[in-house]
Amino acid sequence: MSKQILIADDSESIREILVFSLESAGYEVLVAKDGLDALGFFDGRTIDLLLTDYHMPNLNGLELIVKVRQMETYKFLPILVLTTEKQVDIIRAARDSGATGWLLKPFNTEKLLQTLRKVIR
Amino acid sequence: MNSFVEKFKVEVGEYFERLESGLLQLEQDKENLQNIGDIFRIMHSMKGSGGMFGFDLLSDVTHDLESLFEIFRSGEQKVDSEVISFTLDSIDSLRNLMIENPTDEHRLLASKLKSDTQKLIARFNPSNLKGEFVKQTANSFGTNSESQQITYYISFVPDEDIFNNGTNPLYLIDELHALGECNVQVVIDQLPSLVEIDPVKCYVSWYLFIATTESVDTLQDVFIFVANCAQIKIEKVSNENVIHQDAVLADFLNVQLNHDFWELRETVISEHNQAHETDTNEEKEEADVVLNSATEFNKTTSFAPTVVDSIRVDSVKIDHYMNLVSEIITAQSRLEQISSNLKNSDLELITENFTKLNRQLRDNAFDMSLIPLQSLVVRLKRLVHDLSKSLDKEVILITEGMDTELDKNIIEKLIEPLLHIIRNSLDHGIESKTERHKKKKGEVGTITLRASTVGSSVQIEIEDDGEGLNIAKIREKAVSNGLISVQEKMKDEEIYQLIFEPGFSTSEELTDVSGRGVGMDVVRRSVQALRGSIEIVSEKDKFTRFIIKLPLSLSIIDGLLTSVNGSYYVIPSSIIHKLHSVNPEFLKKEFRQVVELDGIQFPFLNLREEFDGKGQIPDEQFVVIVYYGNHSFGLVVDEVVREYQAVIKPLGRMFKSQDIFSGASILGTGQLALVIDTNKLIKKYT
Amino acid sequence: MASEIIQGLNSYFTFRLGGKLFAVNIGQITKILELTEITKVPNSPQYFRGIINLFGDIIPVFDGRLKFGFQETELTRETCILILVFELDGQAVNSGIIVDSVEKVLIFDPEQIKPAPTVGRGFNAEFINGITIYNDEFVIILNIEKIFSEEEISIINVVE
Repeated sequence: MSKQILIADDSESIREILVFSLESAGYEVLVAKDGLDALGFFDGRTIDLLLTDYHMPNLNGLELIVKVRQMETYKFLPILVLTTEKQVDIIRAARDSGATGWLLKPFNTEKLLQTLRKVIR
Repeated sequence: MNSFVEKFKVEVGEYFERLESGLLQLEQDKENLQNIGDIFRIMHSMKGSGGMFGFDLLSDVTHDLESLFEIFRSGEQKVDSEVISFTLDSIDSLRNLMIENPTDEHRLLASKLKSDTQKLIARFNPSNLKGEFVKQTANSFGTNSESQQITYYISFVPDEDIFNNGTNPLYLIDELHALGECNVQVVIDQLPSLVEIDPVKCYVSWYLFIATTESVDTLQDVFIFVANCAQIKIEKVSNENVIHQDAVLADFLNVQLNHDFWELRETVISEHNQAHETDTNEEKEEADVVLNSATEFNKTTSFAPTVVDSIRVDSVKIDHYMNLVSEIITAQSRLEQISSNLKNSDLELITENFTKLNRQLRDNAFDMSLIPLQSLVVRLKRLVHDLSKSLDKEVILITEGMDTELDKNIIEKLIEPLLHIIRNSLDHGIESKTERHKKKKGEVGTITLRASTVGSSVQIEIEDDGEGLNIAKIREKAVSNGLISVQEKMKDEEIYQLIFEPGFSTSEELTDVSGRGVGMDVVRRSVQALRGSIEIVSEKDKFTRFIIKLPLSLSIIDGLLTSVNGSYYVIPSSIIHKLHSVNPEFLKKEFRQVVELDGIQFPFLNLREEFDGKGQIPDEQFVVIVYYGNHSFGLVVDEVVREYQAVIKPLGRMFKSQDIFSGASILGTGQLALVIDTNKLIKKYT
Repeated sequence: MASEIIQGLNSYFTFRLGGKLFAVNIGQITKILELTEITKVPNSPQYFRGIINLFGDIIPVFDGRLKFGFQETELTRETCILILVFELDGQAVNSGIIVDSVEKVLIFDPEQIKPAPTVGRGFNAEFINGITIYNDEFVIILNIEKIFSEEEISIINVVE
């Protein structure tokens, strides 16, 4: 059974690149267009990793993480945040909301998979 | 990867449009924080994605623009027109920076944009402190210069609640295994008794020796996500691989277990705890702030439909689809022919069904290639905004009925004429502020764009509340150009039409903006090329209104197949009012070319005569009453064959000059039927 | 329908009109048809015969004689329609022309082709790409683009 990764990003091109890279690496990918859309996927199904953008309409990355962590089933779900800044405050905010780690944009497939190895096998 | 870049370019195009739209709206309502937030967010996305796909210049410039808008996000500082105009201009420049191989010129442009933006930022934010960038050395993945394996000691002590962040410490240990040869030991000292164990807490820690060619940075990088919730220690043991030399390792551990180590550990722990405390409060505050500003984006955006259930389809695919549907309908035509010849009721039944389905397919295909006029609005509004500023006039564009849909091909060809008419209105139509004041008009001029569907055509009106057309001047110019004679009597509408003649212009000087109005003849030709018409209504000092009528440009239409003199002609059903059979003798008697049917008189055209008719006149003919403007007109044909779904094929570029036929259709027999454009036909022969 | 003009060929398709021998580069020939039913388009110039249906495309067909300024004569069994492809406003366009008869395909090297004489000889040089000789007869190589972009033309100034 391959691992299921849920991605949430409001940019279509980013979503496409992620799907392409992740599927090529053998993961199964679930796709959400924003935080609210992503939240809908947390219905009890198996999700092995959440990869979410920081800024999104309707429900942004941080809010999404906070909500997900409140759910019993997903309390310990590995979560990575996509961010363009290396700003300490943003990364802290992400971690405080409950993110496991982060991935800086721009990233290439190698970096993506490398980062993934730290949080999911 | 190329298709990703192409998709991204399309996405950026949409970002630009949304930004423009938002900025123009912001101009009208400068305190709309939602709007500002949306603009900020779009810039943020563009910045990030730009970097992803290699458009560094875009990313760079957008970064600064994003900083600019960050200033206004909280509402403490207010946006002004200068900011909005500057940002709009920047967007234009950004469009030019969407190059995959930028030249020095591009880089220069980008630098200029950045410095201009910075200047603007400085105006609002004199003490411009942007967040520090943490230079993470962890990103340097180097190996030792001589590929020499070095042995390190790593101690990894996770905090109790490390699991709460979704971290799995074992994965990190695995990572280390991948980086070199490891000797890992688990420390379970802290493990409480079974009853006391809280399953969500981590009581375990590790220490390990690793012989690797990777650098310390690489090793540290493994723990990058847990730096704040674990104690990490990395120390060099030896400059060689001593993993299997137990004595060396034991010795090292001994040193570690010395009081130095203990002391170190304690201080590390207490430091860690202290930092944690003060940090927690700060961090909490910051997180709150971040969360709060984040909720601003929670509301649905005011100007763009973000969650719309639609997909983007390449227009080439739509065209292809339309072509296929056309072919199906042509084939259907043949089927109908064969079916009626064979007189097989089963076949007839299914052919009928097939025809109905095709009609739906055709309507559906056609519907897909329709897009609302709304798609042009941003561009037009932009023109009005920029031009009125440069002409120092205040003008706004009002739109109505922009949800009216037209074939996308038509919309594309409509842009230039519309732009030109608007340019003209702005330049020559709408008066300067002082003029308007004199005339007791409001300072702000308006240009109204109205669209609606009237029957099977679309009507687009562009009206300005400016000085109206000057009939006397036009007449004068026309006479001096030799277009009309001095005595020639003309109705006002006819005089207005004169401005569409090539080389015509009554404006005194050549202006940068719209030239000498020489574009008007191009406007009319463009509209006519779309098989449309353009009229003008005007009143001095009050308004000028351009009325453009366009057919819904169907390449497949429902029509009536008729024959005249053995040749077939198709008349579009949408303009047919009635059918009458008539005795040819009856028609001959009329000398006024008017026939009375059902008590009503209709003017008529005898197509037999007009179309080089020879041969025997049939015993019975038919009058097809069609709508012509607000009137009805009769077209006399020899025979009405049947209703017919016609695929209109263009006659070819050689037929640019003639226009009474909008195309030809291939009948089931393989013969050709010419499709009549009744308006042109009637106009030509009367 | 042919959507491109094949360049760089030295073969020429020859045909007769009004007794004279004309040639067109093979790359511009799409098809040769027998005289089929041509649908008239009312109110078009005399030299324009009408339109035909060729594999789902509408192709206009001209009367070669009238277009070139010759007198109209009877149609014989040898009369054919030549479908040509040429460029108009940047697009490939197909058009048909009725000719008296088709002749052989000949090969002419570029050296053999001379430019049209501008004076004398009664040829209207605009419409001619060159002249060559075959079997003691002049072969007039036509400039198709120019011919179809003008209305009525006179290939030969002196009309026979």
